[in-house]
Amino acid sequence: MSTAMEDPSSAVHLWRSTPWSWMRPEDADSTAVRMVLHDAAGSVSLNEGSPDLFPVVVDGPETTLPDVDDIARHTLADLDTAPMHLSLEGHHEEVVNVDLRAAGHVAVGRLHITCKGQAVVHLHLSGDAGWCGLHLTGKVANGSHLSVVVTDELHLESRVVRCDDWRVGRDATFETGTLSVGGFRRKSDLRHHLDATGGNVRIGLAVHGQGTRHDDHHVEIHHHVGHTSSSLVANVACGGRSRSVGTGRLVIDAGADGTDAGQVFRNLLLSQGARADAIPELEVLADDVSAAHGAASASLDEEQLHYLMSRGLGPEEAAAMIVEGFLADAFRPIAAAEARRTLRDRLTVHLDCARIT
Amino acid sequence: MAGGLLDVKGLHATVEETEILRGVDLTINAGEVHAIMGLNGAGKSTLASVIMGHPDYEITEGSVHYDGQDLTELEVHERARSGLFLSFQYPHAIPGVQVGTFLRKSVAAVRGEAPKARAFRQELQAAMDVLGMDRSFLSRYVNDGFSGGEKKRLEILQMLLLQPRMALLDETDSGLDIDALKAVAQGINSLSKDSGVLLITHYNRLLELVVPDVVHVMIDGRIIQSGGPELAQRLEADGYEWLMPATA
Repeated sequence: MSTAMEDPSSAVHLWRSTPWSWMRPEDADSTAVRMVLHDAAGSVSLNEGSPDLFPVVVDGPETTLPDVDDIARHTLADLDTAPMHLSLEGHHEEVVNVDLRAAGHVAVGRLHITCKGQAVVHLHLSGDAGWCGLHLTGKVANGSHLSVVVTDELHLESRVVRCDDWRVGRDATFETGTLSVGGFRRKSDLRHHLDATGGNVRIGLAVHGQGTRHDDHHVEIHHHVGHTSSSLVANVACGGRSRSVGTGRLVIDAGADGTDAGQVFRNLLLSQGARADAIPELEVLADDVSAAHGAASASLDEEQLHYLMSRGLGPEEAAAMIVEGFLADAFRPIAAAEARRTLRDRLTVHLDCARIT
Repeated sequence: MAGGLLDVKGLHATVEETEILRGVDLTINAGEVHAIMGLNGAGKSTLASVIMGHPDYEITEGSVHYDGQDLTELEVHERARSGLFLSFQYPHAIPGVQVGTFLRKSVAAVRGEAPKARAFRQELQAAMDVLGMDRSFLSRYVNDGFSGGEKKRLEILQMLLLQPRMALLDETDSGLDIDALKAVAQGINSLSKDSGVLLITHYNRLLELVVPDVVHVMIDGRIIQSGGPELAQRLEADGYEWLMPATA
């Protein structure tokens, strides 16, 4: 039980900006996040999974709980003893939609996805749970292509803890896009492991901060072997007194020559009170690699505003268009058109609602 | 008040406290095509930016009236909605905003109502045909990764859809190959005959395809000479030296 573990010190990098004490569930009585599979035309099933399925990796080879010293993952495992398993085999033409509905004081869900073939999965997280925990794990088999879209539209008063652990096989591609707009306080710890040559990870992350929303995304990409590639684009637009923290940890193991990795964090500050920190971190132990990272923060570009206004858009509409475009541009690394379209559509709906309210 | 579509009188303007325009006088009537030529730094693009209302420029003296209205009383988007259009020399990229979405919203803003989807598609296709543009343009992000020629075509596409009453085209011909230049010229020529056009250019080649009624020469922030299309031909042949003020 996680309660047996001590709270991580604020000196622990992962919890420096968002202490666990802010994020831990306050009520031990939990309900499961209700998972409903849509539009799968009978070719996909969502089944109860074995806890053994969950491959949790911190830095080394694959292991499972309880060998990992990670309080968030332990807490999620303790609260959800009936994880679900989504098995995807063959080529899926249609997007596989899974609704994740979080209700009650504490709602938690664990989902393991395996892919042998090609699929686009849309996980839509919604509901009004006071605290929501989500653990996503998965394996992309050799030569497979999996796109996972996560749209998080939890109630604005929810707290959210999300952990991901993904493993990518030989000549396989895993791409994932996250639209983070829900919950008032969020901590995400997303880890991706390239286990075999030819593996490719592409990540797009769009974060919209409003009011006093606090959003902390730790994204880790670990190249265990060479001739693998990864890209991460994180675009954050913060308004009001919201705060965002984005950490990109890129690890390239010794001997992983031929790795090609790039990370970029961009922050768009929409108000004086907003704050966004982007912290790319590189641990490169191989010699012959390409590893690029960058971070930039700026306010709205006056020249872009002028250009749009010269086309008849009012100042607010022009600013809204720039913000929407900026956030949508985070999904540029994602090749699957359906995945990009899904993210874009949800983003448009969110921003339209945000403007109305 | 003068009766031109665009009336510029004794216009002085500064950017970062440096005076660029030093008394520009220019009147363009509906249906007229004017061209302004001049050396780099003469103030041609500044004039276009000031008329469109770029916030970096300050009018310190003189006036700009469009259709009888003092333009300084209008915000940039209000100028656009009243029928003023600027084709930018260096159009800005808007990453993440698809061209199709941008065009639809822009047309809706200028016309005051959203166009019917089917009619707009047809209108858009017709305009793209004039410019020889592929539909794949519509899903790309505005000016993001565009070549110089693609940017200029997109500017003219916007002009065709917005159907301005007064179009300011700032070096729309620069960086275009022959085929692209012809396409852009065709686009300009297909603008309503009641519209006024101000072409800012360095070269006569565009003016062979879009024949101006009046050619102006701007030097050091002033229009110092005006004439017919033959003036552009002489500038092409002889340069600007013969127009330069004598120095002691």
